[in-house]
Amino acid sequence: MISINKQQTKDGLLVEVVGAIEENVHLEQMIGPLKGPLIVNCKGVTRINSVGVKTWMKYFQGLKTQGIKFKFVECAYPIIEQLNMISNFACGGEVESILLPYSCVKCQNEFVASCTTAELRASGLQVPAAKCEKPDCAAEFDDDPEEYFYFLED
Amino acid sequence: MPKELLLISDHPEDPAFLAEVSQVLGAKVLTVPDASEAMDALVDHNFSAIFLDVSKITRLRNFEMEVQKRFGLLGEQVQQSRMHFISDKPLSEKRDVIQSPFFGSFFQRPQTDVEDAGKYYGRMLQAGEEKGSNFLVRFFGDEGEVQEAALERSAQKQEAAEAVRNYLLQGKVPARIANTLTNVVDELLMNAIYDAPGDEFGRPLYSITSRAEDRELSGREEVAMKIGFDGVYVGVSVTDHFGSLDRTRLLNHVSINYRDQEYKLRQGGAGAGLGLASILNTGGSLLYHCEDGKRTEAILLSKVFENYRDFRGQFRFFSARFYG
Repeated sequence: MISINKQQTKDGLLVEVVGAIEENVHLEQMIGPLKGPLIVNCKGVTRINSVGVKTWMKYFQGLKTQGIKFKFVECAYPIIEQLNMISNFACGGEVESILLPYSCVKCQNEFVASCTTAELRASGLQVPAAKCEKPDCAAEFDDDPEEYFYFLED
Repeated sequence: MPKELLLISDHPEDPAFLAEVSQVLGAKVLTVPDASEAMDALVDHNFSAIFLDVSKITRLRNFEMEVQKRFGLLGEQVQQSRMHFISDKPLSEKRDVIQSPFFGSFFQRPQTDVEDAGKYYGRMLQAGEEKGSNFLVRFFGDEGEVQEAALERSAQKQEAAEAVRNYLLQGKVPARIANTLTNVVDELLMNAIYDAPGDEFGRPLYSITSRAEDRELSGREEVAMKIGFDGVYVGVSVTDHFGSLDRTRLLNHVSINYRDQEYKLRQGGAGAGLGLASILNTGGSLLYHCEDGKRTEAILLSKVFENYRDFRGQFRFFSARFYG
């Protein structure tokens, strides 16, 4: 199941997508008519199946055709995986920021940190250091950086 | 007579892997360096499995040429179901070998812990020796627990996928790994519910039906799902009762790479191979056992890790076995 929270901001309509994107998701109905730019916060996306991918691309390709600007912020790993697997998954939208997954090698705590794609590009796609919230713990980036940042490569 | 395995490779690490596989199977291994030496062995022995190093495409082409010269393409000695390709790269980077008429199973040479990987592969082969849909029961044996559920309505797919996710989370599988495996199960269920059913002439009944539409799954359309776990490995199998999976179509989908070409939206309910592409990009192994006109069992197998990094880098295999 999915829920969509909407909030009008000075930069456009901010939409937060939470849950699994699959066959019962109708983005056009859930988001409603747009009068300006759309900002999609993807930090709550838990997974996206192949029908969800199709729904996603149909919706955002439609926005692109209409000339409506949109961007994605705080993209969680299900979105990153699709960005890395399908070259046109963003449908021309800007990926402004992504979530980086970390896990603690001592306590196995899983957590994420947000980072802008501009910062990552400026650093040469270096993984920023992160700390586990517990003292004396050591966090490591919990993926293969080359695979995770593939969509950011020129 | 003990089972015999043939290894066609001159790679120094392959014999150690095969030694582990053979130990699980109680088999003997004959090793030859290249295809030309393998041909005489194929005449004199009846190998239950043939492992061929295809790291260089010329090795595969030589094998194909030698087999055609000696036995023809339909030779009993080299059935696809007995063939296991070994490579130094993952399948996503070895798409040229998928088109081989001998393609059956594929794995990337294990990067670490060859012993563990060999045992795992041997266990997989042992569980797959018998036809039928009890692969997971044989794979987990007495050590693991296998639960079974039948889907009687298509709308139960989400419930079944969520049940798998909750099962994994309860088993202390990290959330990201649980979500990734759940997504694979979702795709396998969708294939069984919508792509497998066909009419008496084999024409697909629901391939363009909306995946959001609920329908009763009665008789042959009922879909069986099993999940097994032993604390080290997790497996999920999805079985349809049509056995309609097309080898060429399956392998074509495996060959698609949307990193290099744009995905084009098409009409219809499905994602046109996207599901399979996403499955192959996960950290698990995938096996298809298709008995023509009877059933297709699609199996996801994975080792359980404490983090996604190790999950992604795990030893993996892909296997497509078709029986007449």
